Amino acid sequence: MLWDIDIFSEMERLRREMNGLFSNYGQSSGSATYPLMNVYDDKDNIIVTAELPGLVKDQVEITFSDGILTVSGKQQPLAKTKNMSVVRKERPEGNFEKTVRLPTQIKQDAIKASFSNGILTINMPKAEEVKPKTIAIEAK
Amino acid sequence: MKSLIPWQKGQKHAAPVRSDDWFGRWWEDRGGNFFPALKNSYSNHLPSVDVTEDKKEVKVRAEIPGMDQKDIELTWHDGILKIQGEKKNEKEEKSKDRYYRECSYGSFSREIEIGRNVNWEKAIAKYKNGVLTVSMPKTGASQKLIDVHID
Repeated sequence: MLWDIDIFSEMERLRREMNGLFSNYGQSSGSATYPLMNVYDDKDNIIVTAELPGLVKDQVEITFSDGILTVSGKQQPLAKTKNMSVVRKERPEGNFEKTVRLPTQIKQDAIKASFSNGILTINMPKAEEVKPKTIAIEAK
Repeated sequence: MKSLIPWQKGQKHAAPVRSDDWFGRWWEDRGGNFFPALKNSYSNHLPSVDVTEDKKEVKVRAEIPGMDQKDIELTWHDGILKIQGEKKNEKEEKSKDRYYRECSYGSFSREIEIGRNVNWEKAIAKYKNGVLTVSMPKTGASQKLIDVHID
């Protein structure tokens, strides 16, 4: 039957297009999927967290330039011991880099980062001029 | 040793449509991995694991960042190791304005078939830097080679 071959290719095209949409989601670049990140906005700070299980702080580098935050490093390969065989390998290894464009201005000198249980937390205070301000209403 | 995670077929080219159930075939050809981009980045509820084996032990390393050790539950049943727990997101409760989220939260569970040739009673589990390591010593019996006679 010819008709269902047409539908088949049309559905395949749609699937590819949607997959492309999903892969662009989030507007980050580099190896877009690793590490996984969250970005929070809590009035005074932008907080970025990244999941980097198995890494320690010396294996991760954080740079900030021109409104762009970059997290990079290297996942160590599995330590091989004598006669060891790898039955299953799912955890990533090798170099990674991910950049995030921040939605607002940051006080660069006050950026702080911490690492706990495989989660990297980067705290970035907002620049004074972009913080929300309460405007007092003067009585006439 | 085998594992219980879904087996994925390699990507196939469009095969000639023979079956009446062409939609089912099309779906199956993708091995349930319909939108790989979505799957890779947003459906990581299952922790990724490495499994290694040497003469003495079988070792499982699972990536579960941001947990409290006490919130990870390990159970053993008939040669299958089950890792489960709940991943909480405390920051999200505090922060009202969330921008963007890739990490997944909530309960997770993963079963890994190890086989019966390990001594589960002597297994050691450690949680460090977001990685759970379970070391299970092998029982003596599995180290012996079995002679197979061919008639």
